[in-house]
Amino acid sequence: MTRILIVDDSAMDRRLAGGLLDKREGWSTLFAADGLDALEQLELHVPDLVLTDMQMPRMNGLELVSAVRKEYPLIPVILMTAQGSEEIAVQALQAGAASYVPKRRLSHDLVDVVERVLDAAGQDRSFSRLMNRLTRAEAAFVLENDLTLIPSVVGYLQQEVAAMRFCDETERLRIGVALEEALLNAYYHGNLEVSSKLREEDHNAYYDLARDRAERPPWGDRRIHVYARFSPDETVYQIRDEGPGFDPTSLPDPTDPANLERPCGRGLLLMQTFMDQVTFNDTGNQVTMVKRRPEHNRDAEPAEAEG
Amino acid sequence: MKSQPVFTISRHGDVLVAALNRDVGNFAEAQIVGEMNRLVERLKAAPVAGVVVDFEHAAYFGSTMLEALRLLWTHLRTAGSRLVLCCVSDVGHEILEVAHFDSVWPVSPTREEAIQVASGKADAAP
Repeated sequence: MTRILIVDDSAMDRRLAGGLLDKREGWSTLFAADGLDALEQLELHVPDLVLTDMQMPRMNGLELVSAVRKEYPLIPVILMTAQGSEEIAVQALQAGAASYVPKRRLSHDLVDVVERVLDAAGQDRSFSRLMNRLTRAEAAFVLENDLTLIPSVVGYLQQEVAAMRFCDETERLRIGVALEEALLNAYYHGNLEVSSKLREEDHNAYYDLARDRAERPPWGDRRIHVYARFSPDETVYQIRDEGPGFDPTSLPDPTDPANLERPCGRGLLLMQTFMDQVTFNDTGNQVTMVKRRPEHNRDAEPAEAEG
Repeated sequence: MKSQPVFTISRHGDVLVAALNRDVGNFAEAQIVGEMNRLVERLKAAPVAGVVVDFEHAAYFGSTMLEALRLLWTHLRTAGSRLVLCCVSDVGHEILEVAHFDSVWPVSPTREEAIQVASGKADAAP
């Protein structure tokens, strides 16, 4: 049985939406009067889908979307929008709502939209279950020394850990910060051989030199090699540049108050803070970072609807 | 195609608010520093009591943003103005703590409070 939680402070609108959905064989409906009531219901009976009004007392639809996305990421939320609530509906879609139905078109569109979203959610759940059973995966990239590729490769590697439910959203962001710092180090300090010391003296000269070298051999021809290995217990990232390498111990300690205003070493510090292990090879042109699965995330299965 | 700016700048009395438009990782490093340079030039021409940097739309940032903030802070301190951050995510707080900037830059939970602190009308939260 597919369960749909309908959230609306208007009893009449709840009845209208419930009536439309109950007609469909295999679907049953539950009701809540606002966002907070919905969260209480979610604790008691995990539904397959939440259908919510936008404007409600105590907790509105936008807040409910955020809460459901956080606590029950596999349960899709559909919005019922009234005239005048388009702007907040856009915000809710950006916050992760799956779709919306204008209230004036409920009788015409609601069943189709719910069906479509349930199909997509079923595929997501199936994919998520599969990723929970992944025992090992690898990815390797050879990137031109091109700054615009860095956000894409960081995003891809973050998506992989998210798909595996390796960690929560905060850890995923931490991993992203560390990866970005390692890739920027490879780009600027490794391949282009532009030193932090120059940035300390004149940050405009630092970026001018980087731009100039990015267009000229040998610096511009160098590549960044990215390797990642994913397993349920840990992820390993290796980032290698084709520059001459550096001595990481030569960096000043950025946490020393005397160095607070020096632009050196903060990237490495963030890498060391957000990864469990950071090591360089002997020449200093390859960094290996290890992130272990957080203890609180071990054996964590995402919330799934029963049935 | 012109890239989206890193900051949206608005003026609130004698305070400038620089709001990040999205996660800093989506912008080129030089763009962040370039826009910060232009902001500093603008502040040199028209000084203000303080600047608020609003991180509401940025879940995280890295060493490039820290460096850009340091450049801004250096100018503001010399000019006798304040730098206040607001709406910083949990990861953002961690990043500031790791770099020890949490001890020098006040962080307010809301933009409104940050504007008050930057204008000197309210004290920074302890």
